[in-house]
Amino acid sequence: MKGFIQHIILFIALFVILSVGIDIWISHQLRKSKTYSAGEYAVWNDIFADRIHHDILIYGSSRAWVHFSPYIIDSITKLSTYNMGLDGQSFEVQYLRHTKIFKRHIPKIVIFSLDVFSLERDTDIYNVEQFLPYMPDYDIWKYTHRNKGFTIFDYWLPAIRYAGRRKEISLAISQIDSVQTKLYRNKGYKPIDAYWSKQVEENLQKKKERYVVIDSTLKMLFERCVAECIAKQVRVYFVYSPEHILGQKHIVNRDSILTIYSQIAKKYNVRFYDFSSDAMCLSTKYFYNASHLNSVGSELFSKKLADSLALTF
Amino acid sequence: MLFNSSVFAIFLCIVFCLYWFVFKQIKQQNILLLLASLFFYGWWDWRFLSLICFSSVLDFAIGLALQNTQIQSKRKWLLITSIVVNIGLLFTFKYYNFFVESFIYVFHTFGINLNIQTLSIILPLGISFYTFQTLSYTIDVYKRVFEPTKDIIAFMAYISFFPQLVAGPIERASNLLPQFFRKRTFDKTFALEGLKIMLWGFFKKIVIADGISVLIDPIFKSPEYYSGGTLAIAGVLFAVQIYADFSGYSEIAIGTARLFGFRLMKNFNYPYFASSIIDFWKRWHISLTSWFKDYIYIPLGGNRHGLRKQIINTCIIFIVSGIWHGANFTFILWGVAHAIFFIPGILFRKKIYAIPAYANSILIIGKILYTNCIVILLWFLFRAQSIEDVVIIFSKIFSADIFELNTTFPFHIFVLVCILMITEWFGRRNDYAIVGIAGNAPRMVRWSIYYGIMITILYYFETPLNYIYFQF
Repeated sequence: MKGFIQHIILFIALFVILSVGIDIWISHQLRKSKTYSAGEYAVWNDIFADRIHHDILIYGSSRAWVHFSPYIIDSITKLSTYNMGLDGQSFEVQYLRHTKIFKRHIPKIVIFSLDVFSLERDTDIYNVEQFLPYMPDYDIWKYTHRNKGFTIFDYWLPAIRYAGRRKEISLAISQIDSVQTKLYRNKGYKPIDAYWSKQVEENLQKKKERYVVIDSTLKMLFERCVAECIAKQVRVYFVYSPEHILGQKHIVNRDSILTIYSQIAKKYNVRFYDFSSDAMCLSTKYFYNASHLNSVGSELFSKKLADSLALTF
Repeated sequence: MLFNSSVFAIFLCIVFCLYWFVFKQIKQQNILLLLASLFFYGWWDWRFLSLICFSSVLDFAIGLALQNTQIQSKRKWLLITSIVVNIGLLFTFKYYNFFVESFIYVFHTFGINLNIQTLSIILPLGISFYTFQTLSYTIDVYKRVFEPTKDIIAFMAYISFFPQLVAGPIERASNLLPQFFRKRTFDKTFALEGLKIMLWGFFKKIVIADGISVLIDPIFKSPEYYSGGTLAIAGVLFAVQIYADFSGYSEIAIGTARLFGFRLMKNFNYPYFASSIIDFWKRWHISLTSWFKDYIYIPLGGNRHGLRKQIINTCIIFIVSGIWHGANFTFILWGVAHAIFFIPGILFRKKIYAIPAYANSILIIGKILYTNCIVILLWFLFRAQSIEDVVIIFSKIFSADIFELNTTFPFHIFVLVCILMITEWFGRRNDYAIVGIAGNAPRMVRWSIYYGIMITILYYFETPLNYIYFQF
């Protein structure tokens, strides 16, 4: 038995070493991708490599990601800005980014880009591939492990999380010696050059009314995040960026969700800019769908926001 | 609990450590194996534990009663009780709805509308396997080829032994049960071989069977949308899939059992290298085929009462085999078709070629190819969801449509199939191909091969899929 155990331990030990090597190599290769997984690797790389030392950070979901141009806000406010928006994520994952950042850098201003879905609990994490190269990490485990996509082994055993992920492995292999010059996300921001179409309108007409269930733990987490910022002397702003008027009616409890945000703003004495009644919301030329501004709209909105912010400094 | 799941890996490590390091007495080890087996089975659905326990206790009691009575009529009734109860349970859970629906259909064609309710039943996992295993015990005790055991723990551990509980090999009491009474000493070589066999089983299941499954399942779901050429390739791939899936399971079971010092019977002997249909059935699902032979074919008279009787008995065996596989006419048709191709072998050929030594002869290769063509053709009957689908598939592959391809199959799957077949060909002189591969090569070479297999398994490992034979 002793010989068997020694044999197995040696065999497994060598396999673990091999797996660690494979893990490091795949993760390293994946991190190079600027476009895969909605370009999130670029932002995570900046976070993990401690390259985010900006004055203004923008938190939020996809509406933050495509609405807030750091360049326009930089130029008007004269403060460096980084867009931390995450496509399709509830506040739990947004909070994960906040946690990682605040461990290394405290910004001067945090802008919370609000939307009606951030406080709703998802059944599973969207775009889980973005976490793969960074997974042996306590914070990532803490805020993503409740979801079905991963098991405990994926976080702490080398290479296991890449098991069956042929797409990611192929991407890692294909990136050998390839040079990616195209910058998909710049300072986290991704302007979308798409426009309102008939299809968008048809989809809107087909869309059924929906009630968004606010998750109490996510609401608490959101408040905790605001409180943490304030405790660290960070100036906080809430911004509800433009949403097309045709898209506003589909969420039946939209007003009550905005009321929740208003109450939190009041509680923590936070300035709340609500652009959902702005004239931009009436024009389709600024949108590529009901919830998202296109590059023209985002530039105009960023300018309007930056002007408003500048007045408060 | 699936073999190809992380839960099983943890379960196996815990049971292995407790078995060899904590419980060193045979009785303790048997209790541990029984509890572990019940836990393993209960992980799927604990409610059905009562069924397996009931079956085991009943046959244990009948075994003792058979030993304690010498009155032949009473012995016969005891045996009948065991058969009726076990087959009755199997019938209720597996075939009740099938027979009711068939009756309703037959009477409906004569204008009589029967109002019999079907039942909403879940098929208990492995019922066909453990029912046959427990039945073999009672029959052997009745025939006095085997002394019944007085140790209920060992008996229940034998019936529910977790490595082979769900999909075989269907063990005989004469082979497996005595192993529960022997002192088990750890044999390093035996256990390491077990691990190699398991590794190859995982490769077959995860890389080959599951890899093919995602490609061909949609094709067999709606064969009407696919061309003859596509269906033909899907048929070939299914032949590989079912072999890789089932023999993969058997090898994981055999390898796992070896870790606990048990030797299970071999269930597959390179069936696709068979040179005739008769030869194929000596190599495919050996534990079931030999069960049918010993407990149905020979009691019916086997080949002892002339050719006519032998042919009838052969047909009965294949029909029963078809029914055993599932409650669907496609399985019965599959059994009948195999009988049709099997019988000429009885009539016209006495000699059955064994493979190895002269396997490179053109004659043998021709026979192997011919046998495989028949087997693959008949797998369509097995895989099709209904008789209507069988008609659609055959009408397409036996027409000019066979030259049309309307789906592309990824090239890598054919490479993997070739790796499987080449490995099995070169390892065919061994009971398990992987044991023979690089057997005498330096450790570095052997380990590199195992690491290569493990990395390939990880590369292809996705959501664990059920084993095909779980449904039987």
